[in-house]
Amino acid sequence: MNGREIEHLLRLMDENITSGRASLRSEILSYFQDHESLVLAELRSAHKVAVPTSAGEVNIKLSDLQALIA
Amino acid sequence: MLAVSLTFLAAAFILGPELLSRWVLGIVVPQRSLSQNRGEQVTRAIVWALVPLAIVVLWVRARHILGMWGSWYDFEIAASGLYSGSYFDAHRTEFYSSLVAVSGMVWSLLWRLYLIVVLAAILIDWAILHYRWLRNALKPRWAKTALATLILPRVSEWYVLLSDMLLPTEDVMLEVDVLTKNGTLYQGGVQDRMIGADGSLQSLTLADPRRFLRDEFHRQKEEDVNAPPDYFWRRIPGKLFVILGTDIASVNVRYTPRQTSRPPLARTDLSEQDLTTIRTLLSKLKPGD
Repeated sequence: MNGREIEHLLRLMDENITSGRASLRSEILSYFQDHESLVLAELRSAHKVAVPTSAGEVNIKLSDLQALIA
Repeated sequence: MLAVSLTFLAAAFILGPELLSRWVLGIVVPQRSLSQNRGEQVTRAIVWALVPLAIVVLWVRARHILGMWGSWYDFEIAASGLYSGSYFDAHRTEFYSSLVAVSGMVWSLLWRLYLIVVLAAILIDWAILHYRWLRNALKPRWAKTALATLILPRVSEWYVLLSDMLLPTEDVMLEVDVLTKNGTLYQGGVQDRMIGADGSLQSLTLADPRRFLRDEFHRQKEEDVNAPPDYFWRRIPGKLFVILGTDIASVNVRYTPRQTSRPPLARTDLSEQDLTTIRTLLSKLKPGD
């Protein structure tokens, strides 16, 4: 592989990471909407919620969510 | 004597810059990591010599430096004296005077040439060391391509693949799956690699190595097709694990997220609609929850 071919490969990886993060974000927000009562119950009891995603379970703290909309 | 002098000058002006640049580049990328065939080496030697030499010629002409030492006439006298013994005997005084002038001119060119070569090599060393940062800092696609075209061919492909040069972000680390020729699969972080003079991989050192129990996995797979492969990795006692390059059949390079990676929900990535979803959710929590 020459330099240009490697750069093309890196560009594909960048695009893959960007789309992967967007997809993960979308999965989390959909879970919030589809399982609202479950999410609220977890946030009340544990101050965090475990969201199952295609990349594994993602833990999100209540304080982080509050910081996002502050 | 003239032929010997010309050979010396050719070596000083063409081979010297190449050797010097190799030595400086070797400080960052070991000499053995530079993989190039004979044609590329010759081309590189000429480019390393001609481009800086052109800059040096412009430099000394602009400052009239050569004229301070002598003139073209001194070259003619020195060359004639070196070529012909009878001319040397007849013009001994002028010969030595011209030889000093020519030596001064050559010295003026050479030290500037070597200085430019060293500075260029240091710049390339810096670019190799900071390749990932540099690539991320450059926004236009053409600039990224130009950087890759200029820097990557100077480094062995194995070094490029098995160092942090190509890591897309700081949030990920380099891990590999190594399949050996006897069919054993190993996994771990890349701690070190040794690369041969021809650019081949001599050995690979894995940090926190794991071995895959392939036979057990296949036996389990016969009973349960959904058997999860994650249960068949076993940690190898010891911190570092060396695999010889001759034993390696294939290498799968992976970029795995670090523990402290960027949070999945970052403010800069969220749209107004996403924020509204979170606001709505949190508004349903009682105050003080």
